[in-house]
Amino acid sequence: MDKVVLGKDLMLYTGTGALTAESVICLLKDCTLSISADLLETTGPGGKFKRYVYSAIGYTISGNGIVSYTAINNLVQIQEQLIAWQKINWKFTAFHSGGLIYSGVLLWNNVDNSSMFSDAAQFSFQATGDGDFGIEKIPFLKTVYLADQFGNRLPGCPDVYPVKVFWVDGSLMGIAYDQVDVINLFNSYPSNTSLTLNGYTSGCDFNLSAAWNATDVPDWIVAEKLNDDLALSDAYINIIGDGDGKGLSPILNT
Amino acid sequence: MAYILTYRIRYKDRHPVTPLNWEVQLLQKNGSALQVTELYAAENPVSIDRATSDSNAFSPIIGANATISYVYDEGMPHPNTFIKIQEDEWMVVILKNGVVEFKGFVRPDSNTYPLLHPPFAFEINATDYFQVLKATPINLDDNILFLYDYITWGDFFRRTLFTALPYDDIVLNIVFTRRPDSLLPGQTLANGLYLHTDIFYDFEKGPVKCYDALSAFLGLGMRMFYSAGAYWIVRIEDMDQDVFTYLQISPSDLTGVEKTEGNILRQLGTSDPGKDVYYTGRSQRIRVETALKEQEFNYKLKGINRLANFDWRDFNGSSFPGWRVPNPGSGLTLSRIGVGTIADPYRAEMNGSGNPEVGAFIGQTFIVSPGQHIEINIKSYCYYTVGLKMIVSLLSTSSGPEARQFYLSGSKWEQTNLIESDTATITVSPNKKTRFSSFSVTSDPIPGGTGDFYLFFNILGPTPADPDPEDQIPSGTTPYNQIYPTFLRIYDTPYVQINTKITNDGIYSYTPDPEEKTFIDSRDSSISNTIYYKQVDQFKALPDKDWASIKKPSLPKQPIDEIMSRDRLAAANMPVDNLEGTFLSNTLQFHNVVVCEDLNKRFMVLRDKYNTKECLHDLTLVEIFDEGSGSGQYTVTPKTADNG
Repeated sequence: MDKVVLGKDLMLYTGTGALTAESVICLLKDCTLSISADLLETTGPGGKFKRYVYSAIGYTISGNGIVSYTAINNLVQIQEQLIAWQKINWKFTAFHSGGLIYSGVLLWNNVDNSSMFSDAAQFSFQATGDGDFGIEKIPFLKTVYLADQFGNRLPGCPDVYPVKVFWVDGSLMGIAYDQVDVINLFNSYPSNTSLTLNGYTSGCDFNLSAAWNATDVPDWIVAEKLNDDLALSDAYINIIGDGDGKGLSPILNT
Repeated sequence: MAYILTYRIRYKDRHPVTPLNWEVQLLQKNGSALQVTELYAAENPVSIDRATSDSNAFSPIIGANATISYVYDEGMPHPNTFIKIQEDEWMVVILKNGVVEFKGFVRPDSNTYPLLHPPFAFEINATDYFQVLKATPINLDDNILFLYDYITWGDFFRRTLFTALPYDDIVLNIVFTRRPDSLLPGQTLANGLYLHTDIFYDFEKGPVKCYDALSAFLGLGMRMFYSAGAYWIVRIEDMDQDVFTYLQISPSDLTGVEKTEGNILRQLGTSDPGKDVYYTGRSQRIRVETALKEQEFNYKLKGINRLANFDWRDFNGSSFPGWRVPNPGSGLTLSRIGVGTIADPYRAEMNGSGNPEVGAFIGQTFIVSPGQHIEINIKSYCYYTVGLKMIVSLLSTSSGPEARQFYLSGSKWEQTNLIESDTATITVSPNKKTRFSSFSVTSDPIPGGTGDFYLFFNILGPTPADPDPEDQIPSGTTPYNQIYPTFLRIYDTPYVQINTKITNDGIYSYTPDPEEKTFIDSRDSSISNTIYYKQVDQFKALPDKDWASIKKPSLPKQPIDEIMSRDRLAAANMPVDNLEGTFLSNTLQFHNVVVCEDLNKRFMVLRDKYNTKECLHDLTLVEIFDEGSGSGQYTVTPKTADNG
């Protein structure tokens, strides 16, 4: 299933230096990123259909939001940057780091501040891109740990082996006798097309890399100590039985 | 002088398939920049315009202008950096993928910039080296002294193009597929053919400008321009080829090396399949120019000077070898002034008496025949004298009762029984302000009837001017005349001009005005309008119908003037398509031949305004016809002074 990205998850970051989590334009309601190319007609006398080649490419960014004077990056910063003729770094993404990231440099064309009598003050802006339009596809990097199906760290960590290791849909990948086994089982599992364990920091903690467009990125890896088989048998049956997703590790969305 | 790279603009063009890297270099004369400053390119960083002034395919020299646009902001050079300067302050080199596309200088005149807070875009105007040709005289120095002699074609380019453009690592490619049979095997056009420097020297103004000298040469049916890192001279009717075989010469190789350029053709079409040059914006259109009915060319003949020691370079302390020595005791004394350069030529200073009756004159004697005519050019600085005085006379070489005498009066020969100084003396009054007097005359033909004549050309000593209270001679000085290099030309025919005409056999009516031309195969070795070759130790005018075609041996051998005329006919023997519009390419060069399959025709580039960033060329292309196209009559009509 493809991942649906909601508009509320996409955020615009702007600033004059390196963009941090605080660079997001707060209370932004709508944002439009528009890229276009000029076309040059090359039609000759030899046919009735028009022909074209690409020419210059440009893009614009526009948006509107609620004014919040306490926000770190908001209307006033934009106005000050415009007055100071500053070129602005921007980034448009659902995730601050990792995933699909559009980026570049913009110049503010105009910033409107409308303060209606009985409504919250609002602002809108239009900006023009300067130079290249960056499209980056950056893997997500995070740490995961061995846990039960509810995310509870496996009792006995870091000394838990041997363990049964399960894929995110509850299917059994195999038995691991140490951390390297966990990595090998995880990375080579046929259903795994976008997740990679790169290493470990303890018996239960691993480094996970997920492709930029991975649909499910887990917070933990479901595992079960071999001597706990009986105690977990109900859940085990449920996980691998009907595949309805109950008991699966939750999906990271932010 | 050293030019130091100071500013640079770099950008990539927007060709949709093969974008190329561009670099503009601004180099300052004797500059002091320790590092290169990058300038912001404006929206259209460089536009290069190559155009003739008269939209004629046969215009001989096609110069180029470049407009360089950068964004002036803090840290950038102020526009005045490129305006309030001398014309050689900034050299401009524009490179396309490392190959020179344009070279020239910032032209500081008539520029504008906004009187506003920066940033704003500012345009620098630059012009190519051809402007320098207009200001630089042909180099006629021969070990400092004035060169009046035969020079090879290669030496001609050394004394013009290579002299005017001393900054450059220059090469010249000559595409010219005609070759005289008189050339020896192994000889090239550059070292086997000769011109005489007389044709490039005006006795009053001195050496002509390089631009004019080259234009006269290119009038043989060629055009010159700068393209792809080299200067090119291309004969128009040699653009009917797929491959150019050309002679490449340089200041270090005036003989030249034959080379081949196979990358000449550029296919014009649309973007699918991708051609070299695309139509754009539905802008292409055909403008048809009418065919030529008749074109007349006029050649004003110019003889080679016959006077010995005409520039006074030989002087023995009291007289000038080659010239008659004044009678001892005549009161005329001679001295030599000047250093012999073009700028300060030797002059014969004549002091004392000017009475010819006592032999106070200098002169030379020749033998001339009836039907010949002479031309005299003489200039003098007249220091408080009545002016320049001379006697030009004829005396029959035969003795006896049939002996006759004539003196020159105006252009006429007046017969007399006795040459008397009172009536025969020509006096040329000086300009009161400059004190210079100059005299030019083309005589009527030498009278006939009694055989040959002695021609006496005598310059008299000075005659003091009448005292003038408002212009009194400074005390302690005496009147004198200073005679500048002097020319006496003897023409073997009574003709002063040759008119030629090419007439199209087709039924058309367009007859443009006659054009003045310089070089003709006169077959007369006394004429400096002629192309010479060297036979043993003698320079001779080329024989009749000597020029063969290397490209198409089947073409008839003809004199060069007929070839040039027939080239003009071929290029307009029928209505001519001009293809105009805006086209996309970043591989089109000015020397290329554009092939249009849609029309099944070939074109040469006549005008090109090139927006380098967008790869857009505003072009005028002119249809190329094969050499020898069309048929017509070539006529040659000599003109005397009377019927001309």
